[in-house]
Amino acid sequence: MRAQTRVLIIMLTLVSALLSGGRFISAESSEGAGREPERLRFRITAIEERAGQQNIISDATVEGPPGMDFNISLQGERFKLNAQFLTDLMARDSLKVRAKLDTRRFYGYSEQHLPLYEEDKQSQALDLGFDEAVVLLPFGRGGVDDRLKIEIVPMVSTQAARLPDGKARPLEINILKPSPGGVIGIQAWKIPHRFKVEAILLEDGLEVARGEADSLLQEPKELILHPTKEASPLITGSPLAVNLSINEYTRSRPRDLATIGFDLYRVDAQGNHQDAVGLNWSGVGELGSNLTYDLSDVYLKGSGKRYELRVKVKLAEGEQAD
Amino acid sequence: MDCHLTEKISLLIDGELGEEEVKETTAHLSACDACQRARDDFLLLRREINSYASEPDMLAQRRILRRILVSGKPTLWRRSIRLPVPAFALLLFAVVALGAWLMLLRQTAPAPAEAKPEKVLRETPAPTQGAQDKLDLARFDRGERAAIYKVRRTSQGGVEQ
Repeated sequence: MRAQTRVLIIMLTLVSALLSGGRFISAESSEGAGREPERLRFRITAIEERAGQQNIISDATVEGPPGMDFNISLQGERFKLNAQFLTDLMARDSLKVRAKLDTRRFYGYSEQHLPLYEEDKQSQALDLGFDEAVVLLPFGRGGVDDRLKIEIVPMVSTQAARLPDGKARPLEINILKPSPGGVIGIQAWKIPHRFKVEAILLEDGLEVARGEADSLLQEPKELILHPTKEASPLITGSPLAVNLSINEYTRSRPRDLATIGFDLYRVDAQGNHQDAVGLNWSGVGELGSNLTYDLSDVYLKGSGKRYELRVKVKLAEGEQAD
Repeated sequence: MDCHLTEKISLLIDGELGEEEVKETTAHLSACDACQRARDDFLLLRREINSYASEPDMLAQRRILRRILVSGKPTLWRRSIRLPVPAFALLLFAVVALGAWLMLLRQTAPAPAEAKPEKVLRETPAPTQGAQDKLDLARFDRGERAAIYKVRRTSQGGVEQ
């Protein structure tokens, strides 16, 4: 290799390193090579912005294992906000934060002197790096002269996942500065987020189609039921798809419960929805147990055969119930 | 000893008789051979005892003390006392009756703890302080919809505006 070529390669390497902002170097050194963080911390700071000045109203941190969720509530006399955040560590340096905002505002009184409220619900999913933050404006983007802002900053915690006695370190909420009058509240919890969903179509008790998918809590997922070898041409000609969401996870004994909601569609060979077989179906069942739905009246009714859909929800590999 | 007054001879030698008894015993002694022998024996014994020189031997004392301690004398725990059955029954009855009386006394006595919470409640300050300092959210509210978005963090740890 000639000397000029060597110099060129070295220069190109240096330039690419500079363009990346040294990110890969710092990421490796600060978090350990390729290791996922054991615990995450979210700093939640409520700030009042007035005439260019910032005044911290409240400050707190929530800390726990990846997959921890938290809730921020704001309770005034005429206004109430409930912001729920589901967090998932998607890669070593990136998070998926799904926010659900529910607001309720006193509007006035009806002619019958009954209170009227304005309610709003919105959901957003944000892909977040550890060099980014979430900004929540409970009262909207306007009012720059007098605005309330809540900043949520994700960080990798230095605390180990386990205590010295081997037990899992519990979630921690540290109130660094309480809000005046307790108008801002914070809750945190940890429940499984990742599941494996299995859907089976039975024809007179015989499995004729099956679909499996990994699913995140409160995120719709489509499963196409692929016909098996035993499937008749009727099934092969009109396969089914289930658009399913695990809406809720409930702690219970002997096993925890999953609440599902789904729509059932007939699809074409390309997987495009053709017509709905069932809409807004739902059920609650123990993890690992079958939820069975009779399709005889809605699917291939003229065939004279009994069709059933069985849905099973399990924890994904690596997820723990407790 | 054949004479019934021989016992008085010992008391006479020890000087423990009254005046009249001394006269009687002395008169008897002069006429009684048995009492004279007894007097001689007592006096000899006394002389021998007085002539015995007692020298304290610490080693011997310790040896004897040890022998006493290990002599198999039962400990206090192992000792038993003899008690007539009626006395034992009476004692048992007395103990049971005392226990029942104490229990009855405790049940009928008024519980002092019941009155205490009232006092504690009166001492608790009314929660008015929080309400006074409550943040007035209404001044931020202009009827707009809540918003959420992500921003990049600055190198100082804050967030970009």
